[in-house]
Amino acid sequence: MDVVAARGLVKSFALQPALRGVNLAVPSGELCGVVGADGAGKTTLLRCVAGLYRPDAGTVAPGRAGRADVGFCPQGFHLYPDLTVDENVDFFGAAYGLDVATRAARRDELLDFAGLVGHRARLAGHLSGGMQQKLTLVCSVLHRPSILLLDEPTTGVDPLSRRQFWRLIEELHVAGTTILLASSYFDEVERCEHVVFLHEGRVLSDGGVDELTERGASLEDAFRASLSGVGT
Amino acid sequence: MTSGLSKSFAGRAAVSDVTFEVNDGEVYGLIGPNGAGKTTLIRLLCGLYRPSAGAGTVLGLDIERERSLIRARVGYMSQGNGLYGDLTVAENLRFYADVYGVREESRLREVMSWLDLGDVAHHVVVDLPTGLRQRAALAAALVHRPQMVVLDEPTSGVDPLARDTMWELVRSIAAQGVTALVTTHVMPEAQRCDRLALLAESRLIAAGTPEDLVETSGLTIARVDATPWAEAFARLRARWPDAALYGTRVHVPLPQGEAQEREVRGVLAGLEVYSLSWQPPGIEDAFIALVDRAASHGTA
Repeated sequence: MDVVAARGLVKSFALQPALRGVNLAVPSGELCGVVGADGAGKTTLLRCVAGLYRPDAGTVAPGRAGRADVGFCPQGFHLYPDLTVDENVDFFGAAYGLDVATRAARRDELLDFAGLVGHRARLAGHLSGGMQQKLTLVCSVLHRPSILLLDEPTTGVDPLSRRQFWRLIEELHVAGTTILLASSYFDEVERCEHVVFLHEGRVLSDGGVDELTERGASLEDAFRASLSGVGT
Repeated sequence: MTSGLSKSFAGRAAVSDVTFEVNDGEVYGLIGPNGAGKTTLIRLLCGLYRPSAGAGTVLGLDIERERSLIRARVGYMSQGNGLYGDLTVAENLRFYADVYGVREESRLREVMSWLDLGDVAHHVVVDLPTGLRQRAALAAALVHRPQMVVLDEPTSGVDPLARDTMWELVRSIAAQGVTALVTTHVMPEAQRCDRLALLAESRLIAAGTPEDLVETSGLTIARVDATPWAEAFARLRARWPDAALYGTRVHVPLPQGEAQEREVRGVLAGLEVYSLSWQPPGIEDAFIALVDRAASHGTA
């Protein structure tokens, strides 16, 4: 069953189209990567899926109706820099309506999962970029969503932190979470089961990495080839 | 170019005993995790910091005694890119031209046309996409006809298509004989350098062409397709913590050796392995292996 789906999804901002009829289908438990340049529409697509934007046309799931089951890990740093790691997690837990006992239990479990236990009392604003990303992830999965949306989670993060972050993604994936990841790194989406090339609000092509790179080309070459196919 | 170069801040070593050499007209990459000392090393070379120990030359000039000459002959593009956001591209370039005492207006046009900035000359910098902003910053670093440019994370936050353009420009600069020293932590980009130095915890731990670094790592990657994949992944990860998922395929970085295939198959005993193939590691695999190795050898 496709738990994330878009059909003919259109979204514009002040008459500037961001998505021009996107179709997408992500079956339950899949790790799907969306790759494209700035302005391709990656963030808009994720926000529509998360129900943060209302589409102008077309349909999207889970969208607004299914928000409770979605974890959204936005691009950049969206935590409270002047609160500690623990306080941030607690704040987001409360926002999801978790009771005090559940909050404490999940906080301990997830900080351990993310390797942040030793940093609980530090201010979030004082963490390294890689740790901030991991904390953002922790805060976005406190309510145990079955769908996780990650918007360029490793941009600007060094290779060692990126490896650690990917270990967390893999664990969530193996545990059955459906994951939609937006990235501008080809070597990153290569790790997904299903890759979507997005360009100027349209899907250029999508499929498994092996399918997209049929002629032995790299994923980046395949992306370029589909770009020239649309004549831009 | 440098020999035993060191720099400490308040007793903490940021660069320790770094010795390396860059050839004229080369694109030379400095790679390493955050905090490895890349930016400090660059600033030492540009004469922005004084070394705590060791010595170095840039374009034959001593980094301690001839700092002002170095600054006149080296273009520096910092991570924050150093442009005035509320000025136009042309105004920024004019500002840099004034700072460096470049008088001819024609040089500004020349640099702008070289970097294909003509169309955005009168755009305010903050309004430009990151890729163009970085290109404008590169133009500013080139205004005074430097013999060498130092680029600190030139593609940070830049999208894949603009990254390509940036690297083509770096290549075209080098083709004109201008040496380019570039830091990056995006590994597929490091591959585009002629040679690389890998820094970790303030030390230089490996140097050479990208192929040399891959070779030095002594790694090979096993690509495993097995069913059920989650079980195969769990077992391989338990045995080799660096095992990673690619779709439902597992990549396992392993030291090169004869017995590896038997060992991989042993770990997967009882599962259906329908494909086991080998591929050379990427630069990122090599990078991680070399950094891990340096860390496990500690400070010895």
